[in-house]
Amino acid sequence: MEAKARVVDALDIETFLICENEEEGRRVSAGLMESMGLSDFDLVYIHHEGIGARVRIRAYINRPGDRYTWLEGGEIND
Amino acid sequence: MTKKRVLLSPLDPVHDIGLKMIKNALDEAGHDTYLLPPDVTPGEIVEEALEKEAEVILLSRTLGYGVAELLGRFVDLVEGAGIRHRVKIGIGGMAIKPAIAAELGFDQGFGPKTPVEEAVAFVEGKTYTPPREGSAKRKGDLVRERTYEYHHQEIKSLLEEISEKTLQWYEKIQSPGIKRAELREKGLAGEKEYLEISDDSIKDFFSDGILPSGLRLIDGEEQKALESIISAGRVDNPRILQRQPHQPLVFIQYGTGCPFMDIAHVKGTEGWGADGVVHFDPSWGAKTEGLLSGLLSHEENGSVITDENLKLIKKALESSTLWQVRAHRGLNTPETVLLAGEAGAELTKINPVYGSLGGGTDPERLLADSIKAMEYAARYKMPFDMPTNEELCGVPAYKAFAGMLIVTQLGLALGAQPVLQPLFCYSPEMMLGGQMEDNYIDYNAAKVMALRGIIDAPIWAGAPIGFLTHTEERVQSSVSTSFHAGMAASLEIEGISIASADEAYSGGPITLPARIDTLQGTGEAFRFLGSARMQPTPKAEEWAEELTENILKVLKEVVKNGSFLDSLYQGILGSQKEGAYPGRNGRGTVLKRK
Amino acid sequence: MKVIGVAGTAKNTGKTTTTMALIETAGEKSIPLAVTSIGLDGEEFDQVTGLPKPRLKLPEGAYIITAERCISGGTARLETVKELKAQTPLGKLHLARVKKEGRVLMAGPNNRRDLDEVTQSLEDSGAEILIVDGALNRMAPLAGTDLFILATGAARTSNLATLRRETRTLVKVLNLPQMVPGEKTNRSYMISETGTVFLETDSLLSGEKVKKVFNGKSGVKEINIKGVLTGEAFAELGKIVSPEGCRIVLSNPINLLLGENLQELNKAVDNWLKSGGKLGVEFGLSLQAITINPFFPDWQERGRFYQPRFVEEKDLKNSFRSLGVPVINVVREGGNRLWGAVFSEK
Repeated sequence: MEAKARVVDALDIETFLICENEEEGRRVSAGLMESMGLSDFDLVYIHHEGIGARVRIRAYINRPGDRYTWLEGGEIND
Repeated sequence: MTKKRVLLSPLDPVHDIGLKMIKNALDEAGHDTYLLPPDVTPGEIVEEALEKEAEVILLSRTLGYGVAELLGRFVDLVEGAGIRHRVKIGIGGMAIKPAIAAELGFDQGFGPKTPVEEAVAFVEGKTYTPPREGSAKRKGDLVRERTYEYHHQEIKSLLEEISEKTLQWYEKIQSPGIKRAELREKGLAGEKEYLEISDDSIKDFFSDGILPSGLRLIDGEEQKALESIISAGRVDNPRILQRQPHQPLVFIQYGTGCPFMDIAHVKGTEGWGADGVVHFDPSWGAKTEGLLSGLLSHEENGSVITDENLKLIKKALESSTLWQVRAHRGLNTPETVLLAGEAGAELTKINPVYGSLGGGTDPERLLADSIKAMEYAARYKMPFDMPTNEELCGVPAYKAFAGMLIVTQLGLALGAQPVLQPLFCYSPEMMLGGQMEDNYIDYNAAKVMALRGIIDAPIWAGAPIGFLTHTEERVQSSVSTSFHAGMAASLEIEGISIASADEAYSGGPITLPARIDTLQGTGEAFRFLGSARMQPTPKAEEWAEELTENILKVLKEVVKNGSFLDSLYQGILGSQKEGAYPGRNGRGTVLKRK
Repeated sequence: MKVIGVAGTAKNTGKTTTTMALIETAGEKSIPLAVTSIGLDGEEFDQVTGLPKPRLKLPEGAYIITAERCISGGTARLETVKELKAQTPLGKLHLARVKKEGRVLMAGPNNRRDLDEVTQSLEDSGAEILIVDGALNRMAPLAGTDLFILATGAARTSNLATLRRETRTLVKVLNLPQMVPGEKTNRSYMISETGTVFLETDSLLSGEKVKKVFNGKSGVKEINIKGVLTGEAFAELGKIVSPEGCRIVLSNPINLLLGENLQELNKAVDNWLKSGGKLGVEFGLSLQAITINPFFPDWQERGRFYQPRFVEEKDLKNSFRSLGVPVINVVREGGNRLWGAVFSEK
């Protein structure tokens, strides 16, 4: 199993993105998550000021009610 | 005032509290208001406006998908209905600004933090002038109303005696650090005479262009790209953390190694409310005789002090940001203050006691250089703070304070503005003595109370507040900073330096989000307390008296010894047993003046 | 001086690109011009979508009417000729002249009356045309312009069949014939067997209102609406008033387009005309051209931002065939073709 299967519910990416406005920050956030293969995500927090935006982007690995990946068992792949 | 008929309509599916507050203010001012229920259509609002013969329509709506068109159609309907010329239309809500209102065809736009008075002024057709307080951010002033009057006469006279003798000694000596600063003043930095009293690494750089390892010259392309990001990213609306005038100015420390990354961090923290930023230089810089030049990037902690680096950083700062360049511990102390003053820094940092007992520089050398540095600080009108970080080595607070007070008097005698810097920390003294077993408030409060009882000088707690209380976990770390900031506000001190949420993490560089975390925490502490206070227990007073007694004892010992300098070597202001070791960098370099 | 209105059906339908094409072509022909906007133009990023916007560049000598706080917002050097009375969220309007060419930031009059002041302020300027750039989907302030351009495209809807249907409705309404009203008055009225009666309201915004005003009225010959008539109100009117032998006269065609539902309006208009009713306007518009733009901002719910996208240009062009108005993709076909259409006699 992939290591990310052991994530209980979600993965938060906390960072600061250099961008000109909040909208651009949203697009960059989306691009960032897609590029990491985390397509089920939400932008939990974004605030733009000056040179960029402080963001918390959340990728859901297991939503409540899913068939949880951490129930599958098995060894973590290298 | 003419009474206006005002129609207020929340175009959102829910009622907006802002609109209700405006309605209340308008009612109070005697206008006729009509608040519509939420979620009505543009057509219904216009029908209502026709019926009530409204003179002003205020809408609230959060911008979102398709909302701009909805609002555009509303304005068009008002025009089509033939009443646009006699109805003023305003819009408020998240993300609304005047530029958006112009695009939508409204007469005014109100953002989320708009004061109610501004909306009332719009209704009444008056120009709104924001009150001075709490509007645009202005540069803070640490020294503010402090008089530098002593409240403790016995301590005053001891300090004057020590200071006088020390300055007499200073008259007769010379050091490479002082000399280089004087050469730099004459424009001879990097020239033959300068290099003769500099280390080989500096000579190699100026004669052969060889850079010390880990350093890189930044190229013009990089610089241009950075400058365009800075000019596009001016902080329009820096957050103001303080809610009350007694709440302290908040400083962050930067020094990622690279001036570019520093600038990114500084710009980020300015947006999130930092009132001032403190420049950290690399530790090897303190041990090297002479300074480099050019735009230099460094791979490790600390950003190299060069004329070009400092000026580039200054250019990036907002006009409301206070800037401190530290000069407190190394072999280039006078030159650093000179460069800082020339580059436009507002503050510097000088303390030969900590710099020689905990910072590795020889006491004699650093004392001589620090006095020269204080002269520059006075000339450039830069207040300087005196960190008492020897406490972290294990020196008891009263000894560190005695040393700091001697430097205070030296500074005052030279016409400078010293700023006291007690630590808000969980020091080795506390760990061993148990004074913080119960709480972190009492002993820190005692420190401030003791100092306030001795002299009316500004206090800037550092550095950073909460030292040794942080862990690598960001919430714990930020909350600890937040509580310490609340305590600082309660004690009404002038400034605080705050850590990032990465304070306890030493595995790599600090990140910008980690700096924003603690700024948020500090702002929240100020918001939480307002004009309320955290209350120390009676223990604080007791400890404050004890501190004052002990400070007095130490100063008497220094006077008895006859020499401040010798007292530093003898351990009177912190002994080897306590963890203070007189530094060796620059030992034997102080010469008698010819 | 001819006043040219560039109205859009939505954001990002190409109003500024159309305006820019006219400015450039006027420059080539050395025709002195003035420019203004009923919204905000010339910023780098759209205030609402955050997407990059076409920039607005003006040549030396051109006039611009813009708000005080926009005067120094571009790279062009502007010199104020006159301060006007009209107010905007960005300050008072200024009539300014371009001293050195460059980009400008433009926030102009937000209503018809202020636009009239702008037009008057240009009387002695020597400008031969005034181009008024629209904003969003807003058209009402442009109802009095001499020549009218409609910008539309995928930003209105990327469903091309719907876009075609909507555009047909718009063309139908914008081209409504001019009619001389039966009475000279600035209030709404109806003429019936019993004579002329003023209506209690100048606008008919809802079906409810129509019922209230017209129930029980018979033998209506003319209904004259000075304000807005929405599709919903029109549909109700068609039910209560017998169309045969009755004419509805609106002040201008745009006042018929301000309701929420264009399809409902289209049906009401068709039914009215089919049943023998007449429909016209007191002050007509000269719809000279439709400009089309394949671009649309695609809203991404996840992440909540706009993604720039395009529809196929060929499909877009095809869906605009046989409308009876020149349809131009300005970016593809150039400003000269647009200019020709705008200034042709109909």
